[in-house]
Formats: sequence, C-alpha cells, structure tokens
Amino acid sequence: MNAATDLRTTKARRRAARWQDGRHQREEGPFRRIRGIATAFVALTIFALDTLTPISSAIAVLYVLVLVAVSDRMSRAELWWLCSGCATLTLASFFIDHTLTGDLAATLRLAISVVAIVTTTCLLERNLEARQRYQAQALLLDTTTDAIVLRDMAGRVLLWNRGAERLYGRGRDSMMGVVHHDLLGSGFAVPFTMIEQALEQNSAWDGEIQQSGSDGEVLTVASRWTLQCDPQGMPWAVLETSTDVTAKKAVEQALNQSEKRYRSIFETLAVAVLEYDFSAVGAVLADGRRGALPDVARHLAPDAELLAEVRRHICVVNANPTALALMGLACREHFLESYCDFLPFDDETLRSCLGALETGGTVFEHETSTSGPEGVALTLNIALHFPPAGEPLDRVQCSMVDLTEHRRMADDLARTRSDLEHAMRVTTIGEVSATIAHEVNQPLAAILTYAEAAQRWLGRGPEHRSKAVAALQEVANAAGHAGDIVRGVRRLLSRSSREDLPIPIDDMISDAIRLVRREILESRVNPTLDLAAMDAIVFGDRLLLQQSIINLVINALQAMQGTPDPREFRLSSRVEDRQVLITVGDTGPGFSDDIIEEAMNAFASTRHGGMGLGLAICRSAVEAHGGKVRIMNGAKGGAIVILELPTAA
Amino acid sequence: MSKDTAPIVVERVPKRIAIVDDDRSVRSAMNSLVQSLGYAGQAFSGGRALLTVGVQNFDLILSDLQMPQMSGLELLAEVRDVAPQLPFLMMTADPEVHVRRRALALGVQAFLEKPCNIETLVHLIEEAIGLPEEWI
Repeated sequence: MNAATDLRTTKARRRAARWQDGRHQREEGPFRRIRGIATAFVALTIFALDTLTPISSAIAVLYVLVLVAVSDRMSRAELWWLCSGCATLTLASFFIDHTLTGDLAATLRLAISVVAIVTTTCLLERNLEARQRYQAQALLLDTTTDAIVLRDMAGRVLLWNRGAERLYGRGRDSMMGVVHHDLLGSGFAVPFTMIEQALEQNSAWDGEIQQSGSDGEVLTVASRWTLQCDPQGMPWAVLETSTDVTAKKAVEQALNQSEKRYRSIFETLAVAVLEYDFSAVGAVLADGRRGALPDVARHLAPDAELLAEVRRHICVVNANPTALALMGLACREHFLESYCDFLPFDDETLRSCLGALETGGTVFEHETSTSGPEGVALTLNIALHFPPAGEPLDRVQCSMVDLTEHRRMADDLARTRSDLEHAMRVTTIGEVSATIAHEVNQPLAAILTYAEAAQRWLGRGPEHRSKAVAALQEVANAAGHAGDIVRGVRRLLSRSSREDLPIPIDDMISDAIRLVRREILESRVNPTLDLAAMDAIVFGDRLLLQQSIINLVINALQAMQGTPDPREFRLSSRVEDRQVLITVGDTGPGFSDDIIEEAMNAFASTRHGGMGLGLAICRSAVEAHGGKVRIMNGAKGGAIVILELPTAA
Repeated sequence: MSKDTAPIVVERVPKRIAIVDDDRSVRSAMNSLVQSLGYAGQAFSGGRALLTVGVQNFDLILSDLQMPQMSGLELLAEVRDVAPQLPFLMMTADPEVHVRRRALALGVQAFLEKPCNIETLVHLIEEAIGLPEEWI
C-alpha cells in the first residue's frame, strides 16, 4: 500500500469516525457543572487580563478559545448564551478601560474581538448542526435491522453498525480495519472483478452473497453496495447495506420444492385434475358478504340469468394429462380451448356448489354424467377443493374420477349375479338332471303303461273291469307325482321370489335323500343318516334347501369316486342354540389348503371337470335363509360341510 | 273212448315274463300291462331277486338298465351264463354307445326307450316269445 493510499485511508477513517461518532456527547450531572465552572473561570481570567493588564491588544479574541473548547458539549442555545456572555465581558472590559479616553485603536480591537466571537459562534453553530445530522444518521444506522458496513477501497471495515453486529455476531471493535469479506468467507455469484466494474460504472451494485455467521452457519444476504466519492470524485469507500434473506430463501426454496412437487403430482396423477378460475365467483361472494347478496345460493335460485353469468365466468385454466386423456385430447392448449367452460353441473348443482363455497366448505363433491370423447357418456365423480376463506380462488382444484367403467362393471356384476343365480339354479338341475329326468320319466312311463293296461283289461271283458279301474287309479297317482316334480323343477328354474313356508328340516332332508337315493346306491358308498333335528322348523323355500342338500350329497359322492374303501358318506342334522346344523361329510380327498378359502365361490372346484357351482349355490340358498355355510376338513380326512340355518321362533 | 287211454289234457299256459325295475310304479305298471296282454308277469325290484328265483322259469326278461346294486347290463351277463337264448329286452333312455355295444354283444333282443311305446313293446314281446299262451 503506497503513501497515497495510506493517506486516503486515514482521511476515510476520520470521515467514518465523524460519520459514526458524530453524536453530541453531552455531559450529565457533576461533570457538566465542573465544566461550567471551569469555563466561567477561564472566561473571567480572560476578562481580568483584558481589563486589569495594560496589554494593548485584542485579548478578547481569546474568548474564541472558550467557545471552541466547550462548544462540542453544548446545545445551540447554550452556545449563543456563552457567545453573549463573552461579548458582554468584552464590552464590559472596554467600557471599564476606555470609555472616557475615546481610544480609536481600542475601539477597533473591541470590534475585532466581538466580530471574532460572533463569527466563531456562527461557525460552531454550523458545525453543531452538521454534527447533529451525523448523530441522526448514526442513530439511524444503529436502529436499522440491516447490516451497514462502510469499507475503504482496500476492503477494510471503516464502519460496522449494530445491524452488522447482530447479523454476523461480531462486535464493532473486532471488525474495525478488518477485511470482512475474507473473514466472513463471502461467496459471490459472479467474479468479484465484475462487481468492481459494476461499481465503477454505476457507482452501485446489488446481489446475493453467501457468508458465514459467527457460529458457522451459512447466511444468505441481499446486499446493496454504493460507491462513496469525495468532492473531487475520487472513490474513498463502499457502503454495503445487507439484509439477511436466509429464512426467506429457505421459504422460497421450500415453496419452489412444494410447487415442483405439486406440479409433479398434478402431471403424473392417475386421477384427472382440472384447475378452475373461480375469481369472478369469489367477487360475487364477496359482494354477498358485504350485504349486497346475503345468501348467494338463495339469491341465485330464482335468477337463471345471474347464474348463467356466474357460470360464464368460471373457466378451466389448467388440466393434467389424465384429464386430457379422459376427454380424448393430447394437447393441453387444445383442451383449454375446447373445454374452457367445461363444468358438468346443472343449475341446481351449481347453486349447491356456490352455497358450499359461501358457507366456507372446502370440498364439494358431486357425481354427474357428461359427454366424453366422440360423445361417449361418462359418469364422473367431481370433487372441487376450495382454498380456505380469504385466499384467492384463481386456482380451484377439481379432481374427476371416471366412474363409467366402475358403473358399467357394477351393472355387469349385478347382471352377472342375476345370471349366475339363474345359472346356479339351472346348473343345479343340470347336475341332478339324471335324477330329475329319471324321476319325471318314471311316472310318465307308469302312466302310459297303466293306461295301456287299463285299455287292455277293459278290452278283455267286464270280468277284468276291476283291474282296469286299479290301473287307472295308478295312472292318476303317477300323474300327480309327475305334476309335483314338474312344478318343483319349474319353480327352481324361475327367478320368481322364493317361498317362505315352514319347513320341517328332517322331512326336507329325507325328501332330498329320496331324490338322490339312486346316486347314493350306484356310488356304492356306506351311507350314514343321522337326522336328529326332530321337529325343528325353518322358514323358507323347501325346494331351494332341498337342492342345496342334493348338491352337497352329489358333491360328496363325486369326491369319493375312485377313492379306496371304506368310502363313507354321512349326513346328520341336529339343533344347537336355535340353529339347525346340517352336516354332510365324506371320506374323499377333502379341501386342499389353497382352495378352502375359495371353495364357496362359484367356479372353484376340487373336482376335475366340475363347474364349482355346488357350494356356491348352497351358500346363496343358505344365506337367503339367514344362515351360513362352513366348510372344513375332517380330522381323519375328507370334506365336511355344515349348513347353519336359524330355526323358526 | 278207451279206459286205457288216458285223456290228453291240453292246457293253456300263459308265457311268463320277468319284469325287473327298481321303480315300484314302473314295474307295477309293466306287470299290469303284460298281464292285460295275457302274459303272466312277475315283477322284481332288482336283478339279484330275479336270479334268486331263477331265470329258467321265464320266457322273457324285461329289465331296466339303470338300477342300483346290479345294473341291467350286469343282469344280462348273469342271465347269459345260465340261459344263453333267453329273450331279454332292455328298457332305457338313450344308452351310451359302449353300453349298447356291450348289451348287443351279450345278445339283448332290443332296447326300449322309457317311457316306451306300448305298441312297440307288444310287438317286441310277441316277436320274441309269440302269443301270450301256449297249448300244453
């Protein structure tokens, strides 16, 4: 550093010291009194010299020394009082020594002295004003929360305000003369030379700086630099005003990340999301809150035109790719052009929506139908998510879940269930078709045969009449039996509502067993029938329950086909806790672990080639009677199916 | 008429038909029918019962195919062991091919669909054993 720089630095320090320490340090208490006494003593001494000594010179000019000596501790008023006092003493001394002599020289000295005192006072007053301005500035410097640093052109700190102390955690004394950018490890977004060039060209620069705090944390400050030049235009310092924006930056970063996350979710969400601008609606609601429209929903109710106007002001401002796909469009701009006014709410729904918004609702959900791509009807669940009250309504999110497929599947499911139920019944018949065909065929054969026999007995003469009559009676019996079977099959195949009649359980089981007696006998198994439900009655459809029993029996028989002896089939009934328990067991392979959970569902079969409807039919039938079906494997193997039915009270 | 000459007694003896069916109404009806035709019918609930009585006592066997314990096919096989020429009519609805083939191999005269056409039945019975009675 050369001598010129040193000189400039020294001057700069003085200026800075004046700038920072220009506060008027007024003494208080005893010091003030001592100083006053001393001032009075000096002034009186000068007066004594001027009055009592024969020195013929302007002694009174020495009052200037008094003024200069104490002016930095005085207010303006005190300064002028002192000035008046000094002038008075000067005049008093002149009148005492020279009143009667008419000495011109003395008079001139008097005039010089008074002019000197007054001139000095004026100068001191200006100095005092300047100092007071400095004081105000210094006060401002310490009051502001910004960090204000004045540094010389070599980077050394000349001024370090309280804000800087607070921000960097470093005291003024420790920082004076220090190159603070080195100490704080200042990091700039651009090379420092570029900043210096900007300062030189524009006398100012602003930007963000990364700096270290006292405990090592990284601070981000927004800094504004101003070049300070002397009257000759020579730069002597840089005033740096810095604001801590660390928290703000963190918030901004968090906001940015949040926005990015939202955008990412918005773009990738599998749910269609639109953003609506409800600002105009918000204005209407605001009017309503101000009293013009006390209840928007009610107000809009009779006014279709106003509602239409509100609808016109609601527009789509953004749509995510799923929404575009939903409406069969690939381009967002095209979507916003085509569906700007997309709001599939009828007037009533729109009123409800506005009412929800007015009453502070945050979500309005509605299921609606609209036209999708190529006019395909869409069923949508629309949920509008309103921001909290008072926040702008320019980005109201609207999620749309396409329920079309769901609804279609639900309809299909309902239809399939109905078809399945029907199929179950038909399949039940199919599964026992051999038995039913046999049962129907037998009385038919008997009818034909008896009828023919009756004819022939009659043809052989009156003596055979009784045999003809007996044969005809058998015809009637067989026809009645066939009719019972046909009615039962027809009811089973129909989808009409089930009967609700008292059913003696053991009687019903016996009937069912009679129907599959043939299958039981042909399967060559050892059947065990243990019916102990006694007089237990269940209300319901006898035929349906009978078919359930038949299904279980046939399942059991089929499960034991090809299995080694002994092949045992057990069917029992008993009553427990007002429940009839009908148990069907076999010694077949039983339920495998992987199918035991599914065995009750349709189309789950343990039997090769089986449709798996048997148990499903049972479950439907039993559940229709308020009961349930339990399945398990026996302790010694084989499957066990238990039907639980509530008995009649 | 000489005393030494014993008079020749000519007796009309009805031909005997065994009816085998597990269904009571069917076998009863068939029995009534064959009796109305003039034959002597006897109904059996199963093949085992017929075999116990003996098939030689009958001129024709009319049997159901599907029966528990012993099917019509099994009964036919048993009958063929003791009476290879005994007429045998099988009552069934649409028998499976292998059953039909096996029954034909064992010498079944015909299949009758249930419920059977009475005229066909009468025709088949008469074709198999002739008129209901024979002179002895």
